[in-house]
Amino acid sequence: MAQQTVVKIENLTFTYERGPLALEDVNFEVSKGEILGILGSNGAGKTTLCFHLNGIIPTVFSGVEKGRIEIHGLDPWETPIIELSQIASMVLQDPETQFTTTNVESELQFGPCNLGIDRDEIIRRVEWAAKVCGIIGLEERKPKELSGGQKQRVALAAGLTMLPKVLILDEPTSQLDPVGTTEVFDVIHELSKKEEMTILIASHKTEEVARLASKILVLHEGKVAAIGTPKEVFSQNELLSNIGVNPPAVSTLASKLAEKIPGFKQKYEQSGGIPLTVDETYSLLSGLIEQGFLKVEWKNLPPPPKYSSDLVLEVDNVTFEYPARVPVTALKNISLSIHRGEFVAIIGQNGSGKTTLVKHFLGLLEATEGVVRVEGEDVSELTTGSIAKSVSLILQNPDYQLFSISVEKELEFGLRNLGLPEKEIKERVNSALKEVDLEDVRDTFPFRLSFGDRRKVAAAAGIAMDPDIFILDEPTTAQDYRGRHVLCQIASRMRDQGKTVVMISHDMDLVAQYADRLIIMTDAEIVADGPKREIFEMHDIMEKAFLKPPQISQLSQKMKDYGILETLVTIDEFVDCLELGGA
Amino acid sequence: MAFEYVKKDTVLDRMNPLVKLLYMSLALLLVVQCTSISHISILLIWIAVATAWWKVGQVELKSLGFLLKLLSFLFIFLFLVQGLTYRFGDPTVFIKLFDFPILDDLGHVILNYGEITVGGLMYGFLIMLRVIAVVIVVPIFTMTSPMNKISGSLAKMKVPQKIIFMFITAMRFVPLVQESMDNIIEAQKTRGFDIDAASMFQKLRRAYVPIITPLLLLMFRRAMDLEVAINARAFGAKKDRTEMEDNSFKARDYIAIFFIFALFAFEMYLLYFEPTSITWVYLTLFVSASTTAVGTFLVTAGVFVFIQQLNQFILSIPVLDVIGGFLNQNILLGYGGIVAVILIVFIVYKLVRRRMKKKKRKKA
Repeated sequence: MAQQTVVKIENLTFTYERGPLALEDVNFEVSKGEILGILGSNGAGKTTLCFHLNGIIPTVFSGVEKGRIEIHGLDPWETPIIELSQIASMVLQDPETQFTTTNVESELQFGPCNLGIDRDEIIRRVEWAAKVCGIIGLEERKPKELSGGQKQRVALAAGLTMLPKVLILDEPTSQLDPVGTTEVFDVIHELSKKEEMTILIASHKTEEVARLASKILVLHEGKVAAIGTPKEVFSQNELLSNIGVNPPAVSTLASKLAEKIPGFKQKYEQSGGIPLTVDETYSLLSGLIEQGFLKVEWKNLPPPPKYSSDLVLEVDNVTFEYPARVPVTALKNISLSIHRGEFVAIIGQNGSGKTTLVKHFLGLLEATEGVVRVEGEDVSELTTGSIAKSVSLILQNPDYQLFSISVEKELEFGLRNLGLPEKEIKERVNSALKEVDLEDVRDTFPFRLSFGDRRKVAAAAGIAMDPDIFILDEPTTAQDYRGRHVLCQIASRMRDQGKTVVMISHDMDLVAQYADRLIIMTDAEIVADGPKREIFEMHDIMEKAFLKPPQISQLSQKMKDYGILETLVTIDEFVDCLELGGA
Repeated sequence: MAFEYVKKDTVLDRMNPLVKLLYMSLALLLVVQCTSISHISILLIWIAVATAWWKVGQVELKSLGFLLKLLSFLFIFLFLVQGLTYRFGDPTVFIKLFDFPILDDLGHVILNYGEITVGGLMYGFLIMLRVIAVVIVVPIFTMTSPMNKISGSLAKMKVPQKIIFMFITAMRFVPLVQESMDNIIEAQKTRGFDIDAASMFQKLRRAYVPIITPLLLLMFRRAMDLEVAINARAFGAKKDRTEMEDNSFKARDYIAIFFIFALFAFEMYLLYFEPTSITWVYLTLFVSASTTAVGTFLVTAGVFVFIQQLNQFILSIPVLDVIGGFLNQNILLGYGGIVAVILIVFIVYKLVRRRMKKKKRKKA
């Protein structure tokens, strides 16, 4: 039986009113029960495409459209959004902003109530959706009493109560930790399998998308750059990395090996295409080694970088409770010391206390018990403004701090607070703008910039303060693959200038590549602290902290018996270890 | 937030929000009619009953304290302005702050607007009670009514859907604004912006631009996202939304309505039909009796003499006698020195606490 086509897009071109060309000549089809992954860097047109499918364009945003869209036989430009909303449900990137009511239960009821559906039917739907998304028992909660993963699942359930045929997800997991991400993707998987729902996911998490999607569409500047099965798409490594899409690490590994070792490409193509998961790669590589096609040549790793014995940050037995009706312990007996010149990453799931901890470094929060010392001085005796001279915190959301009329003025603000002379302010602004490569937009109103650039402005504002300690809170939030690396590279350069860098993240690939020392936090406590290779070997602790080592580390640990002696963290390290075998 | 709904499962929780709305509107209706000093007694009854409602609804008295703290500046202002200008009540001068006499044709002083009179203070007290009488019933509505119940009962009253949604969104945005504001203040602090250390004048002059601007921009963006979210879920599709809550009036609602009207009618009776203003008489009797009792006790216990001697002693201290002497007039006669000392201690305490807080750090 031929599969029913649910979504059909032909030659779609779209220009926003008074805006740029957002989509150009997009063609694709999706059949019932399929999962389509939509990849692309920020600004590639993913969101615009999603908005087309459920009628947000043209109802909310208008523009000029050419081409044809058909979704369940309906044309979104002819059909009122009310009808469309029952066919296609959309879950947005930020779960916080889509909460329309004040608690979970009424949130789930909101959609069907608008449709005037029978009361008992609504209760049935809500129960079903809550069960599918695993949020039973949370009905009375308010949005702020939910974790990030829970919020996102509530948003998903709220979409499901409309009983859609097509589910559209716009970066549903960009703010979630690895386990929260897996939770959401598992729900999605189940929906497509059991309910035969057609699902379109725009995402940056290529590893998860590769695992689930049956088809992948890559957008670049509004055009289709590639389309096909995950294996087909991810084998075009060069193309993808040119347009800022990051294939799963093991796929990149395979592509790099293919470049280095002639004949490797043919080998993996024979075995069914480019590997996408750790297990696939393991069986491919181990097979080839046993055949003698490949051999492992262990090269000793460079020793971890040395840093001075000078302590810049000391946290001594710090406990912190958020005052509330029922006080919440956010930090429990935290002790830690950081030396000058270290690159430390604090990792852990959402809500484990990472951000709370770094806020103590600046005196934004005051420890209930214990002492925090910055360069030997007790933070509780200082004003935050004066600590800011030596500690800079780059927040997740730059919109909390940008307010000036131009980028230049924005950078000057902090420096004027420090009371520096005009000449020095000018010099510092110039060098900071150069550092983040934003010299061209120095006179632009910051809100006109893209999110990625706004974060860079915020980072530049931090750099201009010339801090000794540079703290980066979650470089991955709403950033594409390229954007997060830009931020980390800035941090890396700061470290090379002798500054101390602390980064909070749950992107393990990023952490593996840039940091030297990892600190794992779970439930307000530090459960592990050490060099990154050692930490990635602590499987039990990682699992308890709801984290997963990066694909490359998992693979290298599996291949210990084949002569990979230590845990590897980057793709290049791995490529270096493999050579063409004798046979 | 202090005024959000928290589920408590009390009678008030289960009561129809319309009943509480009615209570609020009657409170407004009452206070606009209480305009003379003798109505203080009537307002006190209303406030006492409202406090009983708080008890029934298990609303924390803490949030009342928070409310009063918010309003305290207003109250001080009321007392000052009314004390200085209201001239229809008891003309006894409480304290003379400065001279601002109004003369008649013959050059006699008729009024002096530099004096705080007892009647003025009482009138200030009346206005304060009027404010409290309304404010005290608001949390009874907001803190015991879940949002979906409010929207349901408003829909039942045929309030248009769009207006209800606007109302709910406003209620939802209040904690959101608060949260964003805290985040913004934190963000600006990390850039060397010490709003806590700034003086009042500095704050007014430049401090709020870096906080209000991002807040407004952020809220606009939020509003845009919300528009997408509600459209995606068919808001406004049908004229009659399905209402999930049972909004019919129950026995307890009828009882509450009866009680509210009875209370209101009783107050109206006291206000217009009770010729002797009996409650006012009782109130004055009670106040004078209790002050006399306390006074007699103090005199017999010798405390009174002690206080007066202490006051004399304070006034004999060279610097203090300037301020003490100023306060040592009329009703404060005999206590001016002590009042002055208390005032000075309070101001010094405030200043010292401010200085003690945090020092600035110098970068090496």
